[in-house]
Amino acid sequence: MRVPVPHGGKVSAVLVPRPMAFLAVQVHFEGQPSLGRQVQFYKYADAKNNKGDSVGDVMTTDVDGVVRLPRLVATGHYVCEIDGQDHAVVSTVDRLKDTYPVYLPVDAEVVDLHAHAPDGDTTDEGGN
Amino acid sequence: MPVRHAVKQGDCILSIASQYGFYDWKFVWNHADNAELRERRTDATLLAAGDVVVVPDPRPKTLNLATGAVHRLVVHRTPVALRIQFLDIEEEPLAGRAYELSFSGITLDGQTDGNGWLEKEIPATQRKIALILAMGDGKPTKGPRYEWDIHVGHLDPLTEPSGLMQRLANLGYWPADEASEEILPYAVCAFQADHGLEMTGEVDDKTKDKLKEIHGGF
Repeated sequence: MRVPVPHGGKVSAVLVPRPMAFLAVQVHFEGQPSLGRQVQFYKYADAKNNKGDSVGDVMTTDVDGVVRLPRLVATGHYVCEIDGQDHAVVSTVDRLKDTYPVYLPVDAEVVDLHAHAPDGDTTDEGGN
Repeated sequence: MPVRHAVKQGDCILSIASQYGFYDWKFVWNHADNAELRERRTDATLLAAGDVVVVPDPRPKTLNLATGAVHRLVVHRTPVALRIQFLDIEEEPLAGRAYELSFSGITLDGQTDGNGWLEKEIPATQRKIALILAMGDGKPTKGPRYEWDIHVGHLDPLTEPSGLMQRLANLGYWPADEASEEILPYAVCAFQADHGLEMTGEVDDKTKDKLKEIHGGF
């Protein structure tokens, strides 16, 4: 923090511990960044993913599937609504270049290719 | 012969005056050759790197003192008081919070007043101060706390992009991990949105005035 040299009765500074970050998501569909998606951010109201007040205007994803709110927001969780249907809870990111990934459809089960195979599974591609 | 002192980051009129042996910085600041600088920098404590301060020749005071006696000479120096207000994210005062200031092996402690103010006298030449403020009711050194390194005399004028960034950072409108000027429109928009200004991301006069009002009189 930088303050001027104090003199007279002047105020040196007002300090506000206000953690701020970026609200940016990258939308993926079928493994690819998804262009032209309509994204609206909302405040995160509760643990049931209910949305609060809207944050910013509706934005459209670019060729990289990215939308970035043009202002800093308080660090934390927000709800991201895509094309007026899918709702995902997203986190802010600390750096301008970073994005939070959202995979469509939001409620689809994610297949973890790196998960350990259950005992007795013989689907190892490297096997003979 | 007056000296032309090129200001570098961290210089201020007090440090420059002190460097050349002047106790009263106003003697330097009010020198006729600094008229243009005074017009450009309306606040003597806010100089930018690249400014030039003309330092006049010192005028030593002559005293006639008798030999063989002890004489006590008193130098009148104006103490300087660091005045910082702490606000929470709702811009409500962080009142009654214990704090600790550390510099040059000295530790000063105290408690913010009802309006979140810290006011403490510090040496005029002190440039770096470690500040700890308790988040809750406890001691600042135990439990959750905020920590700042305060660089005294390093605030640039509001007319400079760096001065704007520094004020936004003091008010919390700057992510901790970023220093790039690319962030400025994002920070300005956040400030404008929180203070009822049109969210343009541009640093117009209204935004500057509001920033000056919220941050303090500099």
